[in-house]
Amino acid sequence: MAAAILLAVLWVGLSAYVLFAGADFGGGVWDLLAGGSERGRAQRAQIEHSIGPVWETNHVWLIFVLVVTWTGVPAVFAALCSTLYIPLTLAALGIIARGAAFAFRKASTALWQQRLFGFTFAFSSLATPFFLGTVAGAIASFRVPPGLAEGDLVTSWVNPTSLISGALAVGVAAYLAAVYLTRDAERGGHPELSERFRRRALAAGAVVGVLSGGGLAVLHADAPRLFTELTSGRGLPLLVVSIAAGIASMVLLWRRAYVAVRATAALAVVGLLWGWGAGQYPHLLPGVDLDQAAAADSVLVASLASLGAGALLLLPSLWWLYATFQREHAPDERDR
Amino acid sequence: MEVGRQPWIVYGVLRTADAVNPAPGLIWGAVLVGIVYTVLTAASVYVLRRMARDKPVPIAPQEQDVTGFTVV
Repeated sequence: MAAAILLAVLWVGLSAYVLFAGADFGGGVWDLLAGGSERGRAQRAQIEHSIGPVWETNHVWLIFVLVVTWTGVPAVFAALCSTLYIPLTLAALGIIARGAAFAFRKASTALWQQRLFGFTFAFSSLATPFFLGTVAGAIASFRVPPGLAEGDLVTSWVNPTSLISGALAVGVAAYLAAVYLTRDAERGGHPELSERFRRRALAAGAVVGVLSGGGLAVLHADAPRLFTELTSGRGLPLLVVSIAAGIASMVLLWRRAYVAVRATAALAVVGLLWGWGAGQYPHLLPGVDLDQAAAADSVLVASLASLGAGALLLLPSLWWLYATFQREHAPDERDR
Repeated sequence: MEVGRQPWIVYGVLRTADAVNPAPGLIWGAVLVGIVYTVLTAASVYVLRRMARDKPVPIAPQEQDVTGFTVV
């Protein structure tokens, strides 16, 4: 029971990472696609303005996911990290390069430096979620056997399910970012920018929809057990919620309901994540279920208790942080 | 402390040599991390020196304080 609760807490952390840090990665993707230095200036300024205060904080969720995985299901953590060390190392390098380049770009004056750091920031924003997505695909298609480095070091994450989930991760990140940025731009008094992000959100939403459909087709061939659970088992209600929320988001975007669409877009993404989780539960690795992999009850109970205590501190702080930077303020010259 | 407890990764229980990921090619990851951190160190020194020389920016600058630092 404690193990199942901890797994649910882990999935809450994963959802938060995707919803918050995912959108920061997506901001970098739009930075990459914003066009030349002159044409993309306004968009890049808005992206930097929006993610600047929060992107470091949003990475606490990655640390949270890692810590909960290694305390809750240590053997699974060992199997994943040893077999999947290549995409995980690349993702880690991407996170490092991205953060450093983002900070350096803010501090550099010459155009060529801003371009170099800007490109590093933007490219690693695209690569990092892709590699993290391939890791998810490796787990979902049961390509990581238990034990240390027992799986294939390459095909475990270079395979149909991994590639489509890598693409899906990038798409979801870009989609969430565009959805959040429409409202940020509107609130900042930049209606033309808001309109531009709206079009991007609609396009990204369509791409994510197609990728999700493609993902299901790939799962059918490559991970039939998960496909069955998603389309006729435990995962189905969550998949339906996700699809409904995704369609509602497109309608809300079309009608320019930028605040409401934040909730439905997040729900669509969370539905997909929890559909996967519910569809795969309780199988973690091939031949390894949660009750075999979970740490001793004493560890689980102590972890849950300390997570509860930590949440009392963390959640109000996070709320305050986001509320501060989402507060209404009249557009003025300083933001331009 | 890290050096003092060697060769144990968990003192008296697990040796570091037995705890290392047996997958081949790990050295390249280490090389890559080394290169990235070398570049980052050089870039940090360069940027910090520039900031110190060119333009005094306030501690913890807000975006509106940093005029002239245009975003690409």
